[in-house]
Amino acid sequence: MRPEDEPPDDAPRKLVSDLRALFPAARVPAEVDEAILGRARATLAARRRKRTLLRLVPLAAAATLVLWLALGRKERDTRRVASADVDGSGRVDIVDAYVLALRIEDRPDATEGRRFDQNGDGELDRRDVDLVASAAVRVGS
Amino acid sequence: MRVVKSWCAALALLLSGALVIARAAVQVSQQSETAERFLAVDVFVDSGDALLAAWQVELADTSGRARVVGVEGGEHAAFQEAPYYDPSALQRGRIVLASFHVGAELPSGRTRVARVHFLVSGGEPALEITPVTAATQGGGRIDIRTELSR
Amino acid sequence: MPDAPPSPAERDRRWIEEIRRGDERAFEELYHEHREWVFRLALRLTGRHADALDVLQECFAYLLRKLPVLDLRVGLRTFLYPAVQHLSANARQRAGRAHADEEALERAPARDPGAGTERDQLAAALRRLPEAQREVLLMRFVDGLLLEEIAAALDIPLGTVKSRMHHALAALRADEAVRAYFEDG
Repeated sequence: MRPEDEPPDDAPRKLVSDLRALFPAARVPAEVDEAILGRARATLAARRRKRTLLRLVPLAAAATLVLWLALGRKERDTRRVASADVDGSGRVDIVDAYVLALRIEDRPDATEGRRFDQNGDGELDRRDVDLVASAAVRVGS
Repeated sequence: MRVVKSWCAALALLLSGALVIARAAVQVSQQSETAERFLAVDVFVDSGDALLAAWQVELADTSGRARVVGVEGGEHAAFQEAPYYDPSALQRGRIVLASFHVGAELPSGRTRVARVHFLVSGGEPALEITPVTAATQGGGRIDIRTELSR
Repeated sequence: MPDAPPSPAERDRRWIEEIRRGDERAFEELYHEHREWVFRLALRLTGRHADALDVLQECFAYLLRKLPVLDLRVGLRTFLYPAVQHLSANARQRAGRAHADEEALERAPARDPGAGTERDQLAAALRRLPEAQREVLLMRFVDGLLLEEIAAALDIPLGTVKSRMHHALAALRADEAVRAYFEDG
């Protein structure tokens, strides 16, 4: 019988117990437990809040749209959809996100801000960079 | 004639022994092949002498045996955070990874930029990596070589 | 007939599902179930109490980050083993140290002076084993992983694990210093 076919767990009990005794367990201090669990609670709570917000945002958006239509707003936003092709290469990839991040660091003027404002909040910031990066890595449908 | 018969018998015995061993080897190999296992694959980008500020690669498994179950960052401080990727790529065998760093501390040469965790079943996966694009400090595009390592 | 209790892997998967839904209590239960095992493994791999505590914290922080995308098909310890190994290697690298197993084995008898020379001999015999064989032996009998779990954690075929285990035990059996373990009743 080849070694790999033999039952491999044939180790004497005393050998196993002495092996374990060479690497004894040690107690985890209570403050370390609390630090780990505290971080976990904060992380899970933040994720729950994010999920709640994501559920509320579509509702808020729908309500806003209804209100806007009902008021008969005449002034339309004719701004073009912001371009994610920041460097004009003809495609959207991570270099666009990188270049946008560099421009944000250099404090862009208002025109550029409107041109690359991906989420339309009037600000050019890391959220717009993340949107460009997300578009860059999207796997085709 | 008796000698020839003896040699034939010995040869038959040898061949049947070899057949038994071969069958056992297939059984052991099949047991290993059907077991699911995790596979961690490191993604390397080589920018040569150029500083690496942004990179994008595509990983694919052409065998259909591997699914992406997790993504981690790399070794250099610039790319220690997990890269951008499409969450819908998880559970599929194809993923696009990308990251950038606006700071000045950038790596050059061969750099481990990410680690991808796969769950593999039914044998060996066939993993391929394709460079998509990269840039040096300031945004100028550069050529890169890419490599996977287990 | 009552339902059979869930297997450890099934229990881990249920906890992860609950934690994904934001259940903090499920995380506490999962943490308390695996905490000692992770810490003990980290202690074996780093050789230092403080480093092992760092690894423990980093390991569960890593798990929290991975949870939203983790599809666990094996026991959680099989998944965590390479993470603890990697984090421990980082800790050793930061401290400028290479092989924690061997260091730990050198110090082991000193921790319990009353244990006599038997464990000294065992520690020395383990140090004489090739690293790959020692690793499998310790993962099985100290870390408590099944052979299939060892194969998954190390990403090697099950046959290789069995072979390394066989050769490790054979080497210890042939080692005059520890042969007595195999001769007693």
